[in-house]
Amino acid sequence: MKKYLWFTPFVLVPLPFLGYPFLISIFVLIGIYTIAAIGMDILTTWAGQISLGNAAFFAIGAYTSAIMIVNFHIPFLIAFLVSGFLSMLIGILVGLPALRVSGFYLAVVTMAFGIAIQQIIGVFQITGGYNGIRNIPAPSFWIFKASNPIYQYYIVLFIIFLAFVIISRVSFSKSGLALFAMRDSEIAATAFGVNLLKYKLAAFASSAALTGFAGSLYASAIGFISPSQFDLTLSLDLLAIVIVGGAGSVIGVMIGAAFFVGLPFLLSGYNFSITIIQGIALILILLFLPKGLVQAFKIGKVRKKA
Amino acid sequence: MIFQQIIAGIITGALYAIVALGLVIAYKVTGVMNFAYGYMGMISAYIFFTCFSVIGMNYIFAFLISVAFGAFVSYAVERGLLRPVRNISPASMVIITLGLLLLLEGIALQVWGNNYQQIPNLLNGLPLILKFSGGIIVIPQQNLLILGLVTGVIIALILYLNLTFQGKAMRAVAQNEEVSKLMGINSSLMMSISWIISGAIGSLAAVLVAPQTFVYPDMMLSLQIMGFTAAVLGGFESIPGSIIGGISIGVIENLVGTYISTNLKTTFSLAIIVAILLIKPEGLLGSAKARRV
Repeated sequence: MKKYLWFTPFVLVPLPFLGYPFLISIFVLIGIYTIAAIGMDILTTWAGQISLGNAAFFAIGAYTSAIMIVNFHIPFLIAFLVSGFLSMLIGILVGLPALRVSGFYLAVVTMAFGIAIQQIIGVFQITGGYNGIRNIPAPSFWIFKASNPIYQYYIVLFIIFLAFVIISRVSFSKSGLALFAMRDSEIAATAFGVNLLKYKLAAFASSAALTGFAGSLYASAIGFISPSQFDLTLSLDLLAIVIVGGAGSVIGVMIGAAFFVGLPFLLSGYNFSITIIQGIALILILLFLPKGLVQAFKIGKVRKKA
Repeated sequence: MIFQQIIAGIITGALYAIVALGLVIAYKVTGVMNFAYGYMGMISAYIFFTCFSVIGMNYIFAFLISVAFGAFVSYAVERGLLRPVRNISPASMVIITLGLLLLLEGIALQVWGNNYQQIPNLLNGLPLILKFSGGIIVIPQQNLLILGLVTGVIIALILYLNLTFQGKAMRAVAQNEEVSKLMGINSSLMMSISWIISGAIGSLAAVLVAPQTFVYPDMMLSLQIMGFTAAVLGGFESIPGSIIGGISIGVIENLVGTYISTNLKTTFSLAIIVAILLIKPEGLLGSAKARRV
């Protein structure tokens, strides 16, 4: 129970800001990126696979959920679950090439997948082509009908919490150790009887499912999606959140997401190109805090990557 | 018709090949995969635009200045930024060069704004027209220039790497840094030279492609993605691999765009490339390596 206690501040954080829905919607966005970045973290830090195409799972989740809600009036909860599930199935398909290729070759395969999904979404009618889908209603369950972002905040926080619980349970189980063994040396892991097929596909599936859930929440929270939101930059941003925040720790990923999502809002008032600051920040963090921002905060445990 | 498309594909492919070559040279010698490569070239294209269109310099002179500038930027980036961190994990390498990419993009936006700037072709004469029994092939003079320059660079590079002492030393560093140091090779100098060559090649590619794409901060994005893909397709280790990778991607892309689907051109081309990689996971010319566990 003790290791879950650090979550309590996050439950209380939005309470002073109840009167500022805009601020809370930024928190929601940070949470959504955190979920997607945890998906990336599982793939890179845990399983040692590289992916430059996770934006595609985000897009699949967002579009599945948006199409079901807008075109077919299906309740949010069902659309949410279906989008994560569909994303997971496609994640397994994308994971299959990872059994043959690795390193830069895997990076190209996943990047190709990401670019292809973005282009396919732009071509078809049901996805609204390059114009995208507008007026996606805010997520609502049976009792929460309000569009106040505070409800979205707690939904997102709950999912992060669930992900954290599952991760901390798995990491010291047999499956977790098998994943780490595979990351450190595939050949040695095979020699010890680790089934690479099973664990690689499991890593891709869980990464895709989490990213798909995040996409579904994103579509409903933002209310508007179009193919240009799910480009290569998003995949790289997700990877950057993991590396900048702190690979292998949920709180690190949260810090990374807050940094990536929050910074543009902080600097939006000035007439200065924001990418300069983002770029310099990325470089400085990697030069001086190679384990991510979490290193500066000295909280959470950073699992060393081999 | 099909010959016309293949020729057009070879010309696009030549640009992919040269970008792939620049990436591979820098990677082989220093072990750094530069995801900001295209954006370094983009800055050179802006330098060219400033020299030629704003200041009004001679075309050739502006061209040389921009390529030299690109070489210098590349040298500075490797020496000042990437040398200290060249042993970090691949994911971190992607992110630190992504930071550089964002920085360069921001600088371009801040200095030159977000407008599309035009730069003219060097050669605007009548296109070369070949007629034969199978049909007719039209090649604009600028494309001939691209093909000629790319071929020239590749030949010069092959000669340099195989015939000069410095070229051989560079290949030695690429093969084994420690042993080459023991043999008295200045490996630090070789790394700098490899990035200078790489930067000059990137600038050349950017200035050559600029008349078609216009000059704007993201002008090199697709060239960089395809160049990286070409390098990987070729096996990420040799000059012939990069050339074959680049040209085959260029031809595949053009044929797919003409005969299969214009809207989904990139999708189908990438699908073919992924299929090739799945059949031959170490790339077209790469060699499978045995590793110690």
